[in-house]
Amino acid sequence: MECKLIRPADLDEALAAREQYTHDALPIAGGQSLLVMMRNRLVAPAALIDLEPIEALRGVEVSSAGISIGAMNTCRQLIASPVLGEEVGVLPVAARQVSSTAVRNLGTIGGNVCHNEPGADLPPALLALNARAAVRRRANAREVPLAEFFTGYFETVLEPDEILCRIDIEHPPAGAAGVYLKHAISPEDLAMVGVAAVVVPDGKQTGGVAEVRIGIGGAAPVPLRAARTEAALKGAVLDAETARAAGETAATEVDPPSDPHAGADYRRKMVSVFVRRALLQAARQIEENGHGAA
Amino acid sequence: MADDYRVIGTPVVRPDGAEMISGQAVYGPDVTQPGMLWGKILRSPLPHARIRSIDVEKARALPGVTVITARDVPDRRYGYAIEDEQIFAVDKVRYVGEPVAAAAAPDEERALEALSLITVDYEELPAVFTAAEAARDGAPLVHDELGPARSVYLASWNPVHGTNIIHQASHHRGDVDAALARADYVFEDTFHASQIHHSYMEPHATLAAARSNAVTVWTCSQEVFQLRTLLAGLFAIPESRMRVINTKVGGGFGGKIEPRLEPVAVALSVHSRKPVKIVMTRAEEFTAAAGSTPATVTVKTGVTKDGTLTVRDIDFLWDTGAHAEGLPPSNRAMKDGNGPYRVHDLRISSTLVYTNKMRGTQLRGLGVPEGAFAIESQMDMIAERLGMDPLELRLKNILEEGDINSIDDVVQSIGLRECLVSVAKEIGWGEPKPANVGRGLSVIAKSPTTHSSISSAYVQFNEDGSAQVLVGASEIGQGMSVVMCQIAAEVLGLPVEAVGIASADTGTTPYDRGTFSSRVTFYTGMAVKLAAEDARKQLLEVASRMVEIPQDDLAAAEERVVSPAHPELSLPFREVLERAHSYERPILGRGTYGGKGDYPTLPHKAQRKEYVPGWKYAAQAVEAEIDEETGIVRVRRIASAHDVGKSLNPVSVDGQIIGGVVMGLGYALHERLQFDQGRIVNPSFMDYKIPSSQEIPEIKPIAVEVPLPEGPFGAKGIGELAIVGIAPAIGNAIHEVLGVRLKELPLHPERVLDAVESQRKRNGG
Amino acid sequence: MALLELKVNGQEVRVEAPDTALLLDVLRERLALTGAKRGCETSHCGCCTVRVDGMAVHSCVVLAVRCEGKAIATVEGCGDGMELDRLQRLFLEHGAVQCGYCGPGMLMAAQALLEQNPAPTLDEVKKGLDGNLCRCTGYTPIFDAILAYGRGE
Repeated sequence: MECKLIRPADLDEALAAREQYTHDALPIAGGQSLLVMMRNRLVAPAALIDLEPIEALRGVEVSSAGISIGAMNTCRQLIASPVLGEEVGVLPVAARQVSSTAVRNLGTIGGNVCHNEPGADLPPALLALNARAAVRRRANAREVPLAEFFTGYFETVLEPDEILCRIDIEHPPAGAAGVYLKHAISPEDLAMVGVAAVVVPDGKQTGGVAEVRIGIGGAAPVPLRAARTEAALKGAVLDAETARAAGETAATEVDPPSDPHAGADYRRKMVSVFVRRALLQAARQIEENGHGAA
Repeated sequence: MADDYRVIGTPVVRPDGAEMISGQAVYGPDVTQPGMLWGKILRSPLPHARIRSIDVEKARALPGVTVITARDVPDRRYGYAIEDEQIFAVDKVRYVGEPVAAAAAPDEERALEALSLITVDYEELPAVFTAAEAARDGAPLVHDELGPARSVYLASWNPVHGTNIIHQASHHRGDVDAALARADYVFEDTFHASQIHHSYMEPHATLAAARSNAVTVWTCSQEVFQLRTLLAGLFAIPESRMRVINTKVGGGFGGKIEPRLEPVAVALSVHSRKPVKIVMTRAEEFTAAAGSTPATVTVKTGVTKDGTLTVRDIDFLWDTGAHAEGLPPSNRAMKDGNGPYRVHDLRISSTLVYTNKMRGTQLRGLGVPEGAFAIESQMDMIAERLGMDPLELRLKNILEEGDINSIDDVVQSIGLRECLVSVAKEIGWGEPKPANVGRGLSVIAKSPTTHSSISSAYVQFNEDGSAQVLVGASEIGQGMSVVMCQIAAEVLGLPVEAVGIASADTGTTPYDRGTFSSRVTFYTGMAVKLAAEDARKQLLEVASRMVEIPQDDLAAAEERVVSPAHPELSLPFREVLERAHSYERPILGRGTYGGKGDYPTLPHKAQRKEYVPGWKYAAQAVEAEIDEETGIVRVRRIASAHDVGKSLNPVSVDGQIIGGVVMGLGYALHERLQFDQGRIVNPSFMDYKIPSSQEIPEIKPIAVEVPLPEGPFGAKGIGELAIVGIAPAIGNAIHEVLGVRLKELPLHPERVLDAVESQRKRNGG
Repeated sequence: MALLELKVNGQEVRVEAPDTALLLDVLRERLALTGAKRGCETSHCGCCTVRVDGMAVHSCVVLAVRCEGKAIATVEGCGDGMELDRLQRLFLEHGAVQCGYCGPGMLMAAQALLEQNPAPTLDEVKKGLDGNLCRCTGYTPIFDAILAYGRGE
């Protein structure tokens, strides 16, 4: 009955353990959700593979290709990282709203993404940033756009012999603005609806946008990109009316659940409100600064 | 009344504070005993089912494991109000979460493993989940037979046999129908309160040790003596051999009054012959402990054109779940349902109904919040219709000194008007504000406990002149311990640090009915005051002999015996105690208080023997910002003014007010146990939200002091009332901004938005 | 089973525990340090908050083995055994302790906050306590105690 702990020295050992155990073992990142599920007997793995000792899952690297965030970065580290603040500010903004201080101290970006809990804060921001998941198994590696990473409630594309190693993000276009808005009774709750928007100005006219990317959490079995809304906004001028219409379109792209926190209809309405608010806030950011910061 | 108290009214720090904030206090889950086993309970997964068979053989085969079911325990029914429960389900289960079997093992894992090996064969039965359904003719019966009631409830117990109606009561005066026909306006509205959970931070935990011919139980209870009587009866041993020791109690709010784990822990200990500890998980707390008793309340109010309330007809329908612990709140509504208003003709009826759900029980406010939400919401509806200011309407109709209240008593010692005026002022009633900000008011009252409210105390001098207070009421966090020390210190002429207090233990502390219904400051406080006066008298008797001064000329002050007539006298208590302990007798003061009609100083009406002093009054005001698009209500400020009689400890008083207000905030805005076919779907702090640090508005507690002559130094109880009026006050503030009236709790965003949209549709918008 | 070498409140201890034992269980059941309270076991109530290398964590969601080589601080390490420290005294003076069950966790969270931010604003205090629930006090007295500490009282 007792659960065994495997403490690999490096990524190779961890991947070997994944291959050996597959479904019988679970990798443990920050443990902030997994240990709760174990304590409450929702899962009972024969072993845990401890990702903490693995150097390859740490750090934030910046190169010309973009920003690479190790999966074991905690929310606390995301918040404190100056480079993330400058490059992809919407991510630390979202990280600041994850659960509680204690959970942010240990909970990781990799764990947050792999757990895929409805209403989690990081996925919408990462979706809006066009992030990709760098996934390894012993034999090979693959890169999965985050928009394809989430497959269902608490489910992802991750196979039982794989480990999510890093989250990669391209440098956002110059002047892009990023906003994350969380709709919750209290900030430490899961989002009833979470909306991230990255707005790239066209640099020509006030409110003119070259591109908009919208990530939405809590409003479907998986966090998703509002593709039709984004398409409709391409080349538009972002004013109150466009933003309102975008919100309404976005509400038709989601498939919200009903749970003890909110019903499906309510969530759908909130998607409309918060997509509108996020877009307008991004537009204001661009207008006020002459440019934004994603 | 000029105060010249030394200790009373000062912000003394609690004597038990240091052990708590240093992590040394021993709470229920912290207790251990050598050789102890861990117990776990197998609970019903079905809301209503016949038990065909239970197979425990595999579980019993595990080494070191004890497994018990209904067959292994006494075949007796129990319950504080109605005897409708047994330790384990017999023949059928009545709610999801009902105990069916239990196991004890050296660790929790092993006990859980044992439970997983038990198979129960159920035959599902039709179930009822709402009070309205359950009260209908032909509804499936939760209990095939009703009762019996415990003796203290027998006189007023009125079941409808052959139905799910466990109790029906009605109280009226005047000719209600005629008065309604006469009224210029009649308002009729129905309101629904939700079932909330106590959500004390400390889960239920009990350790029972059955040894040779005696049983000791350590538990976090609000009523150790009640519990002892129940356990002794259940296991047929004399109360002298059943000892219940209170651990530190990590919050109760009414949820730790009735037994939960104790009977199972004792039974497991009896069978395993080892001490057995059981700690509830949080999920068990939410699914199997208890919640509040929710009610549907229909209020009919008749008013004259000038805004005078003339008549009220109030009907309560209570959903008590599978056990009748909702009896106290449903009875309380008979007295308190009308709120603190003057009405000539009044009818209140109350029906308590079983359903196949986790039980409702007492929760801070005891049936008053459910009624107050209805009454105080409707008051604003009346004001709107009459074009009156809600403040004016209340000021015109609230009870004043000398009025006749809902139970025909003459109102005495009431500071309600001052409470109302002060919260209105504090919240800026009538002052300009932004369009998305609303303000709302409420006035509230609660009657005192009317029977069995018995307390006793010993106050004993130690040899060094310090003193010990012994009371059997439970410290559950409310600060009773510091207040009792203050009362004794004041009387004895001791600094408060020189007074110690023992925690409730049926083996050592004298009888007390327990901690509930805001009664301890008043009743236990009076017992302590009398005991301290007795101890002081005995001390002065000894001193009198020592100094040869008549006892009447002596006084106790600053740890010395002094005499106004002999200014040179300054005899340290220590010397008197040396004498007492060496040559005379130890000094042990005794005080008792409570019981019907036992209020010698009260000029009460001779015709109503039941009159009990100590009504509590308060007024509350909120200011909230409302987001019309999301339905989110952000409460910015709350003022809560309470007629406390006399504030014995301002830090404790503020703490009770602020804590109650915040609990009221949760009750108003988000808290609700959610069921799906009798199964609770939000059994965690993630899905059942209680207010967190980030939701706390600015709260202004106000203590109004209209002394209660019968209370200790004029004090009244204060523990419950602050939860009561927040929900209607917020509902009133929402109405002010959005023009919609929410009649169902909680006032969560979805419901606010739905109301706005229905209104828009009605208005053709 | 694993043999853990932990440093708790400055003292080295060796203790046997299951591989994946939680810090909360090791503290309470094996080291008899019951100041960290068992409240919800889902990382929501914060009654089990302790500090690991200075950070406030919920010990019900921390593997004990991960704390090897780190400094674990619990409420039992505050003050000097008989005397309370300044923050503990302020908690009591402001009435921040009613039933007291959340107290040790609140204190640990407050310590971690004050170490990073010695004079927090009210909003910062509220945010700093976002992982700790209290059902008795309405939080306000706890805020007051921490703000008073920040003012050097």
